[in-house]
Amino acid sequence: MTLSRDAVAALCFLALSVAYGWHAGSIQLFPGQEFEPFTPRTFPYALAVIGIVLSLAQLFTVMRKPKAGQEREKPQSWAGFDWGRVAALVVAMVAYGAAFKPLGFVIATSLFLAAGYLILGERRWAVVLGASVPVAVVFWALMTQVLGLYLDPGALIRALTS
Amino acid sequence: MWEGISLGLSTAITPLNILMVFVGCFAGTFIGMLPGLGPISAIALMIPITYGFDPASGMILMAGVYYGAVFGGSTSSILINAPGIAGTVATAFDGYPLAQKGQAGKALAIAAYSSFTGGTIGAIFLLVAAPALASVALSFQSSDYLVLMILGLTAVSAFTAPGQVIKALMATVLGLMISTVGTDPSAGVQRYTFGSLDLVDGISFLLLAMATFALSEALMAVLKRDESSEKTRDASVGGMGSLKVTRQELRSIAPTVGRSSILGFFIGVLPGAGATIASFLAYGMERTVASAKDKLGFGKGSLKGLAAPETANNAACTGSFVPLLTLGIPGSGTTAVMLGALISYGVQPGPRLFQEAPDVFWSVIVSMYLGNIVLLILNLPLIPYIAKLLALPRPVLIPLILFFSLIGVYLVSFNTFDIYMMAAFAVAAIILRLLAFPMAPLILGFILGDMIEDNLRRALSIYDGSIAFLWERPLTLAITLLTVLTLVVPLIRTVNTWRRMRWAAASGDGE
Repeated sequence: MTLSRDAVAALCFLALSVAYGWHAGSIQLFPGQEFEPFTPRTFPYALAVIGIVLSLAQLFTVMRKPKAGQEREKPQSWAGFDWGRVAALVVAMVAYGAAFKPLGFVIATSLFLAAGYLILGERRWAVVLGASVPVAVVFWALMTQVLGLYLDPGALIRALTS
Repeated sequence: MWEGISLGLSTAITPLNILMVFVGCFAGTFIGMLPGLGPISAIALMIPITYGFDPASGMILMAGVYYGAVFGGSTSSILINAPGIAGTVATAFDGYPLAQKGQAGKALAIAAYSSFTGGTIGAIFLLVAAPALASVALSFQSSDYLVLMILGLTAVSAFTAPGQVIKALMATVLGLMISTVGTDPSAGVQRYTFGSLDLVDGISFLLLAMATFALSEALMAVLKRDESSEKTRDASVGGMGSLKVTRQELRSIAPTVGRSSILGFFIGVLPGAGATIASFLAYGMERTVASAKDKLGFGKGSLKGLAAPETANNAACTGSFVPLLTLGIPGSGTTAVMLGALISYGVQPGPRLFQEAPDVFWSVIVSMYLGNIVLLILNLPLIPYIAKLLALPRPVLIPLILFFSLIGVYLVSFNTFDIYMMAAFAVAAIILRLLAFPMAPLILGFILGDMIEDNLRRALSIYDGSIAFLWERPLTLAITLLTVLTLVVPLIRTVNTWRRMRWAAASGDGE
């Protein structure tokens, strides 16, 4: 029997709830606190129990449905989705976070925006450059000069200017 | 009350705050028009900008964004049959056929007039209802709050996803679980931080809201190869037709607008039932009461069919502020994000807001009138131009949305760990969305998590560890029963469906 996506979701949530509840047992308590009606563990335990009950209820519902002989949920077709581009964008976001300290706001942002445009299929260089570098510079100027926030210029720029 | 209104007027009518209304309505309209990006994303994107403002200005801006987003959603429903937000799906039923007939201008004008009337009537009700409810709510105890919040959570789950109540409840519990990450508020011990210093302060609501809404909505558009910007370009080139509505047409929709305003407001006040349900109910109600001849026109460009959901969704937006401002309990994902913003300004909404920060309370209410007026006089004539902005190529728009979401969170914490965490949450949110989990209950659960735990602690301490408060206090008992009811009704419906299916299967076998 193949599991429907709802059953998989319920099983995952069951595992999460059990892990969550199990970890709640290792939350630190102060001496004597275990006799109080409410400790830092109370709420997590309650949530874990509710989570387990809900996932079992969901499993029960999902298993029950097909037996009635109809309305079996159509497995959603995940083909035709543009996973490649989404993955590339997520990688670009993580790289953006990593580039912040060494490259500084302006360069990291320009690179991130340009990469985003290229990933999504923009090939005109005027657009790729024109909508990335000026956006980063104007935003940086607005934040640091007008609103007085500090944005790290980055190790690279500091090394070049000093 | 009149002092309140004059206080509200004097706060709202300063050059800065009027500018806020304009900017909010405009930005909201633009973001709301983008298919996929809803009011929650629009408001979340605005929060980092408003951190430096005083709470009243910040709330005024966000209320403007909220209206604008709903209005923008109806614009894309009418022009390209791609509702920007769920609350305007019903608008497309009759709005898009009108646009196809070359009457897009008229449809937009009717949408604007009905939104305006719905919003205004809603605001008048709010003016009366909110202070009255706030004074009643002053007598609430922690156990009442606890069960009220639980009612809000179950109601959101019961209403957001018909037939998927368990999934919505699972999303709520997941939100509550995420809210326990960080330092425990009462004892000060760390929970679920796994020794990471970056998690000691917990996960910021802005981060979670941005990742689960703005980021994941933008990425979903890429994932599904959404091509609606092409359609938008065609629509904006195609011309709008005249914006004129005849007096006779106005007279014919007037009763519809009146009925739908009242219906919409009360649906909006209910926890969990927001603009989406209000607009569908109003559409259904109008079709039921319409004359046989009018009924045929529904779905083919009926003016009443357009006016009803448009009126109701705006009235419901206004109504949803009642529980937020008077009880401090958001009834929807959108007001949950506003609650998060208010808390980060240092304002605790609730019955005491009315006394402690009357300027915030009243100026939000007054700014709702202003927002409605601005939408009418500013947005309507500008719609053709805003629609052109939408024709910005998607490859440029999406990276910009990603950038503004990421930097909005970074500028609050200045911690690059937040950017990694957002990427992770965005991926998780995409998976949850593909598994058909609703996201609004998650964010609502997350925001209410701390308050629920706090009130549970107090209630348990007062009753010495016993949960007797659930039945010993009449008010608590009444709300508890209501909560049980919202859970049991969908359950009965499911069991009935099973029975009918089994019956059908059995009789099928017999033949």
